[in-house]
Amino acid sequence: MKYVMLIAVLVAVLTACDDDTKVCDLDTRTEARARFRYLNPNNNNVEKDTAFPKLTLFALGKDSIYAKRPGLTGMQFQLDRLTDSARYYFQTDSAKIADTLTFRYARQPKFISAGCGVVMYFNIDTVFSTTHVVKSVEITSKQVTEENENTIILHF
Amino acid sequence: MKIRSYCIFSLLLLCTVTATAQSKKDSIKTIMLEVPAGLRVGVDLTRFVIPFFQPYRRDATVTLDARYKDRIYFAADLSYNLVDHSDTNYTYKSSGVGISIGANYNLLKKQVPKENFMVYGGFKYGFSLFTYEVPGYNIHSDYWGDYVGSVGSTTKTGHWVELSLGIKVEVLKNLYLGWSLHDRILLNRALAKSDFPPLIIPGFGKGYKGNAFDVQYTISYLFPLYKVKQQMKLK
Repeated sequence: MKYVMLIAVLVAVLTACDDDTKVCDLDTRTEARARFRYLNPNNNNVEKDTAFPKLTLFALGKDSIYAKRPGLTGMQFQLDRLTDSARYYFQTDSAKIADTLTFRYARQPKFISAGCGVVMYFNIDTVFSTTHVVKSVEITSKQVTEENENTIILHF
Repeated sequence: MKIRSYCIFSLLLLCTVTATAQSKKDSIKTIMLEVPAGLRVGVDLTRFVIPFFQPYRRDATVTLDARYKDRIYFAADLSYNLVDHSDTNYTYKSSGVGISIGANYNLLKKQVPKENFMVYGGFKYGFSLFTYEVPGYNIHSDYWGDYVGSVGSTTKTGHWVELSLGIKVEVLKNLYLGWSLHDRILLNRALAKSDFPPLIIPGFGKGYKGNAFDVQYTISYLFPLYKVKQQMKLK
């Protein structure tokens, strides 16, 4: 009995005294994620994941996020923390015409823990794309948080 | 870690209750005696240790209890908290007070009239009023640039219920030392889940969690003010 009490006291002391501001054990990235799906007309219009030979993505006026990256079946990228919309240059192959992806959303700063501080949550309003290569855009999750769920599916 | 803490706490409570229930039912004579009682005033010494582990906070807790009946004590804790934290991610300031009021039940059956040891379980309701602000925070991004914001000063209240288990021992006449374990459950959980929850709720603990586990180590003095009737069993 006395050992149980002693252990309980030690656990209580450790729990009550730990400094939460020193430890960040969460993934603080809040990034949008996209999957690529291709509708195969030669196979009863069955849709499946697809990859591209040279994928390029960057926000207009910014550096590359992906530059001619081969073999990707999806991508993840940050939305603009400073404004309520973001536009991206999206090219599946250097020989193909690029599309422009546009995101409109509301931003919500969120305190997630004493150690990690504040991250930016996004609530997606609309996503649309030019249709040179992309056929359509489907929103699968409106919330972009540190849970890192898939945000959109790009259909080709 | 949290689940293990709850298990140990529940096990402790169960062991204590079971031990009490297993008392021998001998044929012994019961008498009522009048024994001194009064107001016991103490301070929680662990609050003075906390700044060594959590340098951003200052706390003070005064404990009060007064014997009402043979084994029932009215009890209250008065708490003060001040937080001033700053790092590369955010700065935070808060101050406030808290009070929890309830009762403790002495699980020990007294064998000697003036024996003043107690092993007790307690239940309290807690309330706190506090003000906090986030003067500045920074959401870092290498790609888009940093987002800088702030949250102005806001005044909030916290409500919780508290279960406790502890002991008090009279080490000198009317001078007591004791420790106790506390599990606090926040009633207005929306506060903990808000976009900017408080770091600390005075008297409760970490304000961004719905449940707070705590330990107190108190030194207290009993001011004898009145007498209560105490049941004694004579062998």
